[in-house]
Amino acid sequence: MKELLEAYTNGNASVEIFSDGTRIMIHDGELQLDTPLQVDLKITNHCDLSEYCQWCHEGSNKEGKHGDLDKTLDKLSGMTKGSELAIGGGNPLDHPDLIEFLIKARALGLISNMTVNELHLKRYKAQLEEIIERKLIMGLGISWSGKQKKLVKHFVDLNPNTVIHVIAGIQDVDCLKDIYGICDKVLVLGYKKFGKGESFYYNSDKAFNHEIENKLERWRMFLPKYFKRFTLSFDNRSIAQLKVERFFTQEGWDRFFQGDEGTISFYLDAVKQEFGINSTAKLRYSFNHLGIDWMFKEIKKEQASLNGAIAEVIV
Amino acid sequence: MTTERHGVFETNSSSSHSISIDENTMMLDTSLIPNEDGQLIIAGESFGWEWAKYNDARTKAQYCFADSHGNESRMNMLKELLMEQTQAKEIVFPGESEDRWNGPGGASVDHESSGTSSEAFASKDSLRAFIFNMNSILYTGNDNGSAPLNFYVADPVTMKYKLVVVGHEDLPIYSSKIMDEDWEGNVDSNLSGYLGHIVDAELHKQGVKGDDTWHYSNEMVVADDMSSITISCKMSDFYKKHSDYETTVSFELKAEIIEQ
Repeated sequence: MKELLEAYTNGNASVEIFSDGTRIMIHDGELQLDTPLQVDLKITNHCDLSEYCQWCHEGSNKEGKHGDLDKTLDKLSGMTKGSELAIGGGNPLDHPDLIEFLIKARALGLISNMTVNELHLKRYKAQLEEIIERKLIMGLGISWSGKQKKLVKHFVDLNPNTVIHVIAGIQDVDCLKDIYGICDKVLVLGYKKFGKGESFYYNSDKAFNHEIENKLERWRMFLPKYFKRFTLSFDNRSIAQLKVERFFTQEGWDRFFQGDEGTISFYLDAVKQEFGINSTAKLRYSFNHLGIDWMFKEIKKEQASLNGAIAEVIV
Repeated sequence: MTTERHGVFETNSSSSHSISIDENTMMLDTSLIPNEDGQLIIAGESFGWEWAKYNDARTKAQYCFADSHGNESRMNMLKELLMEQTQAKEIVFPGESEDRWNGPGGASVDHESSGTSSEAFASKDSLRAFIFNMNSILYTGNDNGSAPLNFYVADPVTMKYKLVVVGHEDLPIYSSKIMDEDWEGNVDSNLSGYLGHIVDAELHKQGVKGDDTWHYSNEMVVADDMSSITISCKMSDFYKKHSDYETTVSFELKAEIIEQ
C-alpha cells in the first residue's frame, strides 16, 4: 500500500511523491520549476572495479578522490523539501562521510536514493543494511552483473524500492530473464560513448564494436517481450537508442515522459565541484559561487539552447 | 498538465529516469515481435461476412495485407511501418497465389468490403494508429443482416450512457450519446438502431412472426430530463394469402438512461 511521502510546490508545479516512488506532477502551462526535482549526484571518484567495468564512462578508479560533502550539502540546502538525490560514484559506499551526509540530507527534507554495484554487495553488506534499516535512502539501484543473485534478492527483500540497473549494449536483453523473479523493477540505461565508454565502443581501427551494436539491435526487437513482467524505466539515452517512444500513444507519452535532461534535473559532481546537464556533458561549470537555483537556471538556459540538438548529443 | 512516474524512485546518478512503464501506462500494441532471425511473419487470413471485431495488431496487419497485396505503394508503406514499429530486419508476407479466388496464403477480403482499409493507408501515421492503437477496431460483417447488439461498442466502460429497457434487463445497451447532433430532438441514429433490437426481441416475445409483408413503426421520445426514452411501437402483420386477415400489435417500452 503506497502512502503519500511528500507534497510540495515548486515553481508552477504541485508535486506529490509516494512511498513506492510514484511521483505525480501537475502544472498549468509550460513547466517552470524554481529548483530541480532531482539532482544526479556523484560523491566520489573512487572505485576498485575499473578493470572489470571497462565501459564505465565515469573514469573512476582506485586513485579516485572523494567529494567534499559538507560543501555539497550547503549547495543542496537550497533544494525544495521533498526533492530527490540520486547518489552514485565511483563506489558511493567507499565515501567515509556517506552516512553522515545521508542523515543531514534527510534533515533537509531531501529524499536520498543511491546506486551501488552488485559486485560490492558482499563486502559492504552490513553498511548497506544499516543504511536501509535506518531509512536513510528510499530507492536503491543495483548495477547488475548477475554474479551475486542471492545477495541482490536479499536487498530487494529488505528494500522493495530496489531497482536493477542494466546497460543496453553491455548486457543482452535476455538478462531480463535472469532478473525475473529476483526484482520486478528495472532501469534500462543507454550505452554511453563517453570517457572509457568511448574507447570501449570503438576498436583500435575505429570500427564499431559490433557486439555492442548487435546487442542494441536485440534490445530494440525483443524488449516488448518483457513489458508486462516488470516496471521498466529508461533514461534519455536508452529512449533514443532503443526508440522507446514508438511503443506509446501520444497521450501516454505526454503523461509519462519526464522531460529532456536539464528540464527537471541536472548533474552535480561533488568531487570536482562542477555541475552540468548530465554526467556525459563536456560543458561543465564550477558551482563554487552559485546557489542551486542559479545552477538550475544556467542548466535550463543551456538546455533551451541545445533543444533540437540534444538528441545528437545523447544518442 | 500531469506528468506521472510510476513505482520507482530516481536512482540513476548519471542521467535521469525519463520514463517508466508499468501495466497502467498507455501504450500501443507491442505484441508483434520478430523471431530470433529478426523476421516478422504475417500470415494470410481470410475476412468474409462474419460479424467480428479485432483490435490486436496482428489481425489488423493481416487485414491490411489481405486488402492491399498487389498494390505496391500500399505494400511498401505497410512493410516500412512494420519494420519501424517492431524493428524487424525483414517482414515476411505469403507469396503470390495461383488461385484466382484466394490471395497469397489464403489472404482475402470479401469483395463487397474490398478497399475499406484505404482510409488507414492515407499516411504512415494513420496506418500506425489503425494497426497499433488498441482503440482502433476492425469490424467485419455484412449488409444482409443487422449487427449483434452493442457490436460497435468497443468497451462498454468507456461509454457515457447505459440504457436498460424494462422487461429486457438482460440486454443493456451502451451509447456515447442520446440525441442526434445534426437533427435536434431525435434519438441518435446509432442508438435508435440498437433499440431496434429490443423492439425485435419484444415482438418475438409476443409471438409475432413477420414475413415479407410486415412492417412496423416506432417512435422514440426522450424525456426532458434525459432520464428515459419511451418507445411506442405499432406493428401490423398482413397475410397476402388471406387479405382480410390482419393483426396489430402495439406496445410501449421504457428505456431508463443511466449516466455511467
